[in-house]
Amino acid sequence: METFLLTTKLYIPLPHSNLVKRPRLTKRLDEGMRLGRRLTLISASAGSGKTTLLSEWIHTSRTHRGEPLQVAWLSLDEDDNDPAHFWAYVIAALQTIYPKVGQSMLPMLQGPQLPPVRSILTPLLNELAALSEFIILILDDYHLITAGTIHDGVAFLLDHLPRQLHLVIATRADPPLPIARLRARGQLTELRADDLRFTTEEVAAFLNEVMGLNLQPRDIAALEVRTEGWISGLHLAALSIQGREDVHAFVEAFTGGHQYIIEYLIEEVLSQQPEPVQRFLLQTSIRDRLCAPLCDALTGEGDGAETLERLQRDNLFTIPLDDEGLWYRYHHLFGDLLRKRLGQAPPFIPPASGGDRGGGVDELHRRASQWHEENSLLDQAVKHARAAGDFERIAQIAERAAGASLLDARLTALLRWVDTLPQDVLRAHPRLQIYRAWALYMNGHLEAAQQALRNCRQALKALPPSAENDSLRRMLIRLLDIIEMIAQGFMYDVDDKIEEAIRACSLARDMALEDGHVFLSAQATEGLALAQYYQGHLRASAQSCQQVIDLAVQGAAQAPLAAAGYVELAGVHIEWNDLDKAADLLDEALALCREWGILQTLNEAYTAQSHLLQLKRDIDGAWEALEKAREFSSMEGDSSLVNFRLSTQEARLNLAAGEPEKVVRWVKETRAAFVPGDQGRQRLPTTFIVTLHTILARACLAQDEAEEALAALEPLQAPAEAAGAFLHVIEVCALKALALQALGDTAAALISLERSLALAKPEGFMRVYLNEGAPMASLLREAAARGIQAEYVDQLLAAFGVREYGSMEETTPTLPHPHTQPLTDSLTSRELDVLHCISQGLSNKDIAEKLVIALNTVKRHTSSIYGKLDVKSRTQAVARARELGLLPTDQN
Amino acid sequence: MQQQHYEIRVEGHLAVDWSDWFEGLTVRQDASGETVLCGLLDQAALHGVLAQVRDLGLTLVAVNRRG
Repeated sequence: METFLLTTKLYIPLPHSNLVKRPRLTKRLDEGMRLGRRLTLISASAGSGKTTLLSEWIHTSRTHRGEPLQVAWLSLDEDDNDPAHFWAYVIAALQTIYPKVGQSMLPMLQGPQLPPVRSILTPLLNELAALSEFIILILDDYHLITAGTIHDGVAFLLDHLPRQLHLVIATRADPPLPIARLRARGQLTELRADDLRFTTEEVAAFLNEVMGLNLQPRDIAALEVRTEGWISGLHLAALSIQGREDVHAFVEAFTGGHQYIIEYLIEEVLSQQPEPVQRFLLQTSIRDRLCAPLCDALTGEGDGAETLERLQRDNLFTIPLDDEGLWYRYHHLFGDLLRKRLGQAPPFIPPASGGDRGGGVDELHRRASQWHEENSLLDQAVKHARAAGDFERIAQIAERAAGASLLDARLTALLRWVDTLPQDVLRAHPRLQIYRAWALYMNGHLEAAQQALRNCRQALKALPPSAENDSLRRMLIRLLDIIEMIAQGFMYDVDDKIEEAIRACSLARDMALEDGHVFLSAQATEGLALAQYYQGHLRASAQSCQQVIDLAVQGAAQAPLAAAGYVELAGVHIEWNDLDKAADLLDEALALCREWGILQTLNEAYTAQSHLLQLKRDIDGAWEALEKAREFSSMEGDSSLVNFRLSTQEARLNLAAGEPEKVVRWVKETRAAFVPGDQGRQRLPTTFIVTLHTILARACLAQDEAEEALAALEPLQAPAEAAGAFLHVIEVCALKALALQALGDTAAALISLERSLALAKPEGFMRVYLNEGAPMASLLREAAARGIQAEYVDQLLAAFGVREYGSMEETTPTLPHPHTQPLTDSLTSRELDVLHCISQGLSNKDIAEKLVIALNTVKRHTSSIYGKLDVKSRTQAVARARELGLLPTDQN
Repeated sequence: MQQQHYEIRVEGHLAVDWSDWFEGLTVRQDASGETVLCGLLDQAALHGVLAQVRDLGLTLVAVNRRG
């Protein structure tokens, strides 16, 4: 929603033209640089001159080549405790020096879910390590960071800091970072309160030269003792003394008492100011960043620019935040004290016209909220509305923003605002409830979304009748219908009523198109595409996918949906064995995901790519893609689905690597985690069950346990037929045929295969058969011999030929028995070593030890051997190798 | 976490109207020139008060649990 960054936070404060030079401290900072230490920590209380010192250092110090220091500055505040926010600002700060740095990481931070922080930081650190220049990254006011995940990220940064980067942290409290370790290793430069306080000479220089007070030595000494060299205290004391006749009396009164220095002095300083300036300071103190128009909105006067400039000139703790003199802030401590005083005795502020509330601090917050909304700074607008306790205002801001961002698909901020509203305010805003439901749904909280939709209906009914409300009601109910149908469609894709899902999604698509909701219609079409895929209607599904992509492109800001469309379409092309086309589509999807930071789809796309690479026999690439998918899987939302998808692909790879035992264990564990009917546990959706059992069946077949395979498959067919999930029927029947054939029941095998082929033929299924390798080819030849689906089976067998023998120009219509064919790719000598070990009955682990290679390398070799020999198990591999003379036949 | 009675001592005299800024604790000045903040707090509120002490640049003298 609101993703732009405040550049004032990146502004390197200019040193005041007139200040006490502190070479003893800047030298220590220089020394830290020179010694190549990782971190400079400036840890001292509020008002001790941390920021001023850094500013002086940056503007006076030079590198060893005599060039100015390259500094990226970030002033932190409470709102930076969101890690996405924090790292976006860090990157933005670095970009003030290198505009391109971290460019590729930013979209990841803007998506609805944050990737693990090291996957953002690792590429960033690599980029920084490649720079020729030396950069200093300064994090000011780090004590405002309380989020543990940010501390973890900063610790990670410190651990992996490239030579080119030096980190400076200025804070009021020691951060939870491995400070002691850095200190022990001499990698830390540290300045603390004792270092920062003014020495006697500095006190004298400050009071007499900088503030021009011309004080007597005894008064200077008294002030130093009273303030203990605390810079803010001295600064305020000097301001109080300016223009006084009875300086000595003031010093005596001040140094004689016990009062909290700052409080005492601020009273003194304020009382020195003309009344309008006092009022200005108090009224504007509610904001931590100020510009003249905002000040005018708060005070109702027109003198903001002038007053801000005067305050800065008079050294009244007003700090410019840019070079143009647009934005300012008060010194933190000064601001705190002003706010405290505002709370005790607010100056009279007339309530806004027509408002039913009194004036005072709440009214100031309402004015601030309004100004920020008018200037599209919605987060701030909401923050001030909340400070004013004005929930109705928050509802209105959210409602206005949601109208524009429903199409934006970025509703996280909206959800955050609306979740803080009391129930009665939410009930009075049915439109907001619908947006909230939509946001929940978009963030993957399906059940919460459905509940919210049900509540919306209640809220709409409760609206009092009026012409305006009636038309609103009609419009909203229709919108609700569409959203509900889409949600239903998506719910069904993991359930078992495919026809209903298709009906709901097509109706929603048409209604949404009619009403001009492009985004909603694309959503609905995506649901439709998925349902059609499960139905086994590949052509219709491909068409719907294309429609999703077209609609999404038409809607410009809807790339996330286009990405999902590409992934689904790639799935169809994989089934059609058009692997190159599928690869292109996945590349499109990945590019969109990276550009837009769509993590959920990124994960899906990498998983699909892993499968695709496996089919292309690039096993290394397949494992790599799976790793990438895993990197982006730690998200909230529907994680069980994501994890299932990942481990399914891992199981496929394990199967290909000849480790069916592992796969069997995985199936058992997964089943145990989802006991059907056991309350409190999630029921395993039908498509999951089918996937689990078909993989289990393959693992059993690989271990020559056809009975078990059949048992795993048997319960699947009837429910899939009943649900109309023909995708599953086709696969289950094909696998059943293999199991039956392995048991020697060729007649039953062919009946099952025929059912599969009859459903698959009109939609051009290929991979479902090709993936099963030699046993399927031989069974298909049996079918061909009996004239079952002759034309289609011929096509399939021809495809087996192409697959088997690479890029043959033509495929022979009648294929010779594969076992008599020579190998196109001969085994490498290392693969032969592994094969020998296999034939001796060694486990993968034993082989790894014997050949002194990594376990993963063994797996890679085995799966490559299986691929080349076209076998699926160790026993098959050994048998086949003996047939081919690769192993001596007499060896046991 | 249960609320406990705490007494927080800082250097210098704070005006008694600071109570709102310190989780509603009573603010009492004592003769030695210190301010005593006391009242019922749970752990989170205690840390909030300590952060406030820090942010005002006050010197913390002692934190005691009583009773």
